[in-house]
Amino acid sequence: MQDGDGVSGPPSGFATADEVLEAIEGLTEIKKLRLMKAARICLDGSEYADPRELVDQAVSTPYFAARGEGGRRWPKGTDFVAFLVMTIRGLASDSRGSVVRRQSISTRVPTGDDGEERDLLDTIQHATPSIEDSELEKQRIEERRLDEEAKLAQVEQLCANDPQIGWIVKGIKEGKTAREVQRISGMSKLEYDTAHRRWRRKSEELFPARRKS
Amino acid sequence: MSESKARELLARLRDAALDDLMHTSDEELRAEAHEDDEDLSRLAADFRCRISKRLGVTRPQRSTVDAKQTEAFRLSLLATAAKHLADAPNDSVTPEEMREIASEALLKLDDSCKSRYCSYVTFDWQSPRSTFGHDARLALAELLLSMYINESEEFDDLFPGSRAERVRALLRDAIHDPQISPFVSISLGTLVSTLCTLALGKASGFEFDPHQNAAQRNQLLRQIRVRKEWRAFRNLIAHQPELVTDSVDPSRAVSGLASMQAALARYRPDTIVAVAGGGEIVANFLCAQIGVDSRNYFVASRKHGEYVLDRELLAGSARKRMVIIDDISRTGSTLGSICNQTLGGIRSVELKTLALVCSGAATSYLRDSFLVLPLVAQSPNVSVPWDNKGSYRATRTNHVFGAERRSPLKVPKAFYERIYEGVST
Repeated sequence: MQDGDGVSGPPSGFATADEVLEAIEGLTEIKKLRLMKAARICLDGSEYADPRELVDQAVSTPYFAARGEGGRRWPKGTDFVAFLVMTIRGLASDSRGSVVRRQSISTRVPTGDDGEERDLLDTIQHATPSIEDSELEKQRIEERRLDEEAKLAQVEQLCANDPQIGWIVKGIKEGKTAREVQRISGMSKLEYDTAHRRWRRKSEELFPARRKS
Repeated sequence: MSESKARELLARLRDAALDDLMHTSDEELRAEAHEDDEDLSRLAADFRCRISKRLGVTRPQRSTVDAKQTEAFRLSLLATAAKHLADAPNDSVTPEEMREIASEALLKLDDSCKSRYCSYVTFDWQSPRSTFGHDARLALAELLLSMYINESEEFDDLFPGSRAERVRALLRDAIHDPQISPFVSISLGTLVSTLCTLALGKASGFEFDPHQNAAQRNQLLRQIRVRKEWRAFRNLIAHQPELVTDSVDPSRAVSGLASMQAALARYRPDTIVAVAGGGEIVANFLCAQIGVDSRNYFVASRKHGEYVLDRELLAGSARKRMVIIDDISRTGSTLGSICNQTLGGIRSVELKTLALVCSGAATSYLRDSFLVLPLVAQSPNVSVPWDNKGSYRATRTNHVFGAERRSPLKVPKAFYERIYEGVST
């Protein structure tokens, strides 16, 4: 049976709708906070305006999926919170991707044997994109680029203010392991862990335009 | 940096932060929430409301509740809480931890109700069958009662038409609980007194307005209390001692002192004998209040195994009513010894004893000699809220008990007068 097929019988290993509800009931305050924090971290660049929207979407996804309405199902062997955090990450990433895709969809298609590309829209009468739409799209791309630059500038600023966070970010940029970062920075394991935690907490605050809760 | 590289770098930074989040323990997250002033309860409540709306899961009607499923959920909830309590060695579980476990269990239950996944109405609060221990039950009772008192619209929704039953069940539980029952008798005594006052008032033709404010209600109670019917009633119940466990808190001490003063004012003793130490603090205060002349004030202290007065009682003086005062009577032997040995030879004098708090043993021992018994303690090791090596001193605004010692008890005079007024009317 394929994912999302009907409601008659879920494949073994995936939770039923009742089991998902039970797992949602079992979410403690701290687990809910963990989800909210994950959403705050992942929100950046996505189409979600508020971390709560992202959390709600992630929590409801396995329930509706278990009822056969499509979406990611919860494999029962996986920790529910870990699954939800990964769902939050996936949803935000998909949302970010859809923005990018929308920005880069070409209307030019190969036509004829010579492989020459022509604008598809040119073949459709009365469907020429309006100048306003094109301008808005350009504006959105530009806004996104500026947003990413601003975000990176904030990260740079954060690194300048806290050199230990600077080493953490440098390590992430260069794909270094924790041990390598500790070695080149001279940080102890405890210092590294503490700096890493500081980075995570700061990263939740890097989006002042968004509401915290 | 190109656009795609920037995007990729941001993604890696986010992943690193997520990774750290997943390696952060619950305790650390709780500490962070505290630092950041995050309101966890509100966050959880918002979550419940949003998710229940989004999922469209409605609370089943009572008739359609899957009883087995609900019962299984309830039992699993109770079993989890009981397991937490049972698994931990007794000495490692503090009352705070027990309270936390119990409150978590209740919140979980509350969560499931508000989320409309489970019906609250089948929750069985009959403690004899409950797997909770006394402490957990006490904590749950406190939580439920505080929720009941601070009920919100949501809470109203939880108990459709069954609040009275719930409270009755809680009261029944409290009365049968050995830890709670002493407090129940105290509270019920106060409640009965107030209810009887109101009933007597009603019988005497006073008008009751259900919308009256606190000041109007107090005014009404004062009006009722000046009537002779109420005085007769009060004589029946007012001398019932109040029960305390192993310490007298300041408010009970003030009420007790006021009762002692009222009893002395009625009895009008001509001689006061204070037991040296704590007895002097109380006796000095009471003598100042009722205006006993220093010539009629004596102190009994222990010398060579027996109690002797600080000076001789003048032979031939007309002493008829003598009261021996102490702060605590743990066994009754001190007051008994002064009555029987120190002052036992004075036949013409009526001897009464007076102590702020007595143990059960002292109460039995000196049963007939007490002028009044304000407080009776369950434990013979009962303590009062001042250092009995100090003294009594009156300042312009305060009565100070245990003066010249650390942490004296300061009672504002205005406050004491108000309490005394209530006791003596």
